[in-house]
Amino acid sequence: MSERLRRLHRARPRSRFVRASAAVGGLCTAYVWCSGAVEAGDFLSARRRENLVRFLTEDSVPFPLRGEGFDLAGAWSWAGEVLGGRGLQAAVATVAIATVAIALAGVLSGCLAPLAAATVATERPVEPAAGGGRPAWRALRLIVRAGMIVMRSIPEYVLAFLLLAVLGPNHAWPAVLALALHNGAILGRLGAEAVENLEPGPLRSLRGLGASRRSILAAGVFPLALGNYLLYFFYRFETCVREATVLGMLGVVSLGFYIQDARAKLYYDEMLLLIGLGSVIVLAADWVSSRARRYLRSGV
Amino acid sequence: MSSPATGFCLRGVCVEYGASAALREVDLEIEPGEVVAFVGPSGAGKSTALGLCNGMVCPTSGTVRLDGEDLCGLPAARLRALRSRIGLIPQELGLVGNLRVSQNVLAGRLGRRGALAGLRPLIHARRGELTEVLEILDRLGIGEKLFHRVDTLSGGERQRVAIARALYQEAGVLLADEPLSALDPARARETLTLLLAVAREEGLTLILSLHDIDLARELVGRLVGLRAGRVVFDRRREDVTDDDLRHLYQLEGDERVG
Amino acid sequence: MSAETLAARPSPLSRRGRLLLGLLLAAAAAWATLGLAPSDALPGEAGRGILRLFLEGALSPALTYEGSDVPADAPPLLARVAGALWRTVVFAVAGLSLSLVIGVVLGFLGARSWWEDDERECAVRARARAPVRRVLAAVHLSVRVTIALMRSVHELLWAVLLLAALGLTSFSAVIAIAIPYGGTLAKVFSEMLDECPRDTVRSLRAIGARGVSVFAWGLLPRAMGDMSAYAFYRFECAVRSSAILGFFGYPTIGYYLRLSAENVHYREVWTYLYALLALVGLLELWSSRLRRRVVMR
Repeated sequence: MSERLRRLHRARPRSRFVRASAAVGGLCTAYVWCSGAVEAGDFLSARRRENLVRFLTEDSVPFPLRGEGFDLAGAWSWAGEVLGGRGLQAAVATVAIATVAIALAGVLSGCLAPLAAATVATERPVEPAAGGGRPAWRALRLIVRAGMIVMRSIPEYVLAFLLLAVLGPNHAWPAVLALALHNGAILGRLGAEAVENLEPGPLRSLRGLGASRRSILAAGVFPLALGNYLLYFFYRFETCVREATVLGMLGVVSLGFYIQDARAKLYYDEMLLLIGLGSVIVLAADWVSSRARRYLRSGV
Repeated sequence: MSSPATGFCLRGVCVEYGASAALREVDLEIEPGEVVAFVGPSGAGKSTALGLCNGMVCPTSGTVRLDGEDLCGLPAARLRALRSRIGLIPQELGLVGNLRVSQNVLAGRLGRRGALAGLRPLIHARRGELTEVLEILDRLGIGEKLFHRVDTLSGGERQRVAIARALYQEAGVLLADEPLSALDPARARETLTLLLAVAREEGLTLILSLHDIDLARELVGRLVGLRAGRVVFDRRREDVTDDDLRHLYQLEGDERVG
Repeated sequence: MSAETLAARPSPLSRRGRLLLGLLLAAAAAWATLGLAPSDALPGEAGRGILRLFLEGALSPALTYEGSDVPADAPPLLARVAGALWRTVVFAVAGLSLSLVIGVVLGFLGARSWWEDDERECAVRARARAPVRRVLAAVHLSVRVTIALMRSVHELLWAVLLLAALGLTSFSAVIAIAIPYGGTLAKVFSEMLDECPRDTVRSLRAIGARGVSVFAWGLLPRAMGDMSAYAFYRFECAVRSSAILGFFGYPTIGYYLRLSAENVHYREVWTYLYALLALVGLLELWSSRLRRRVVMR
């Protein structure tokens, strides 16, 4: 019996790849923490502690409240000034950047997704043999897909940084374009998957009626894939708002700009206040996008 | 080591979900070691009746007694102890696809282990435990699958894993909710025969819900016909008449007259 | 007309249509707010020159330093790229491993499926459990709020905060990644646990298993595949985040990328970009292969 147990145990199906991946991950983690590449001990050194204490007890306290002159009314008017003035203006700009960017990303991904989907971008769309196709179609798909991989692998922040050099700093385009390109590529991939996962039946019957590629796209693919696609879309909107906040630190006028400004002046109290405002905007966007997704799920 | 079989006694049981009644005024006595099948159209209350037997459903009124002990209102620990003696093969089997067969079967005794002791077999199974599991699987003809992942098995094989889990539990009662629903006719007969044989060998009380009335009539000792939450008939299989069945399955419209 | 009859009336637009229309209007309003001129989206005279330089750089990425003002003790460019890439990975690994710990703990506390069971329990027992449930519900709510707050601040803003509080130390970069990523992992993990099919949970409860056993046997293994696939995907994101942390002075690839770009050494910029792309591409290949193995339905 125990011989048989051993034999069965040896013959059990298992994935070397998963085990090897887990081992590599574990070893890397252990090495990173043990080798001293991350100065975790330094965190507790007297200098860091001093720094931390000063930050918490002095720098981050609103300046009218510091020291003897504990001025609560002054603190209120200071917070109102910061939040109501540039804070509000920058918050609106942040949301606006994210909204324009996600709309452009939607348009971009709507163009890219059919070109990357193996069931559509082929000489005989949606037919059972689809997926291969002539080399020209295959090359097209490959190029679109590779382009999307590149666009989504470059962080938005780097993209915006490079665009800023090319387009100049006096308008929001670098941030908008960086977000639109990055998210367009991500949504394009998800959209292509949504298109490829469509039930082939209805599309084939359209094809059987002699519909052209364009009318199949307009009448079949887009309406059918839209539901799943929109779920991703609103999920990305939240991410866009989060990123739009930060892109300001490069010099575009969103919240990040004033955060960076306060930071450069060492006004840490103001910086904290603005980061809090950014957090509120992101939470609001999170709420909006989850409401939109629930609204979509609960009916057509 | 097999636990003694267990009997049930249902008295005046009503179950209501919200406004609708799932069971009405059910009286039923099930002797230890008996084999009983609930039959009837879908929505008749078969699954609810099974749920009463392990306290997953509590009656709105009436009592369910297991060897004289009222299942409702028991403290959680006592209820767990009782449940650990009641095997269950749910309709959807309740197996974990990405665990191995051995682990799924070992889960059968979780009811008898403490919180921490219950975790050990998941990570490391003792040789003795594995031998025991392998013996059960061999009886069911799937011994070679001991270390396979459940989601790589066929429907019939999964069914057997669920049976093996209940056997490993060493329960006195076995509840099986539509155990044949996912199987083709040949496999269904084979599985039912297997369940009956197992129950006979172990001396288990076996309570099933079945929608295949012909198979039930052919193989199961006692049939309880349920319709719209009421017991329509309760007879030995040789006494079930065609009239009973007509009454059981007659169309909804005819019912309103009476 | 009452509100109900209004709601019941068939609307001329589907839900999707209404959402899309709303989005379009919002985008138009946002466009107007920002005062975006379409002509500005194209580079001007100076911009075109930079763009040309930049695109030329793509075809011939630098293998040695571009400028002549290289300090004598600087390592060869490729060694610098490799070092920067390595440190990028180190921060990402450390940040993600820390956030995994946070994510698993808070994800467990933020899920309700292990304590809120759907059995039609008898009233007596339900009453007996009510105080425990109230405590668990309170814990659940406070954990969800914590998770939302952790997530709502971008990792770069956490970095800015931690730079101010602690100064430039590699550990602050690690925490800056670990906090928002921990929140995101916790949110997704708890959703995965809650969305697991309940049949196993019910069947294990039915044979008398305790809450902890039900969680460990019935829920965790089921969600494990999705959870590890998602964690790996987040590692890819962590590498990108760790790269841009370099813009704030940490020695990852973003630091050198920024230096080179500010010196208009676009061929060097491309060397860094290509290195980052290769790393992310490699991880993406790895993760898609892993996903195929672990997420089996």
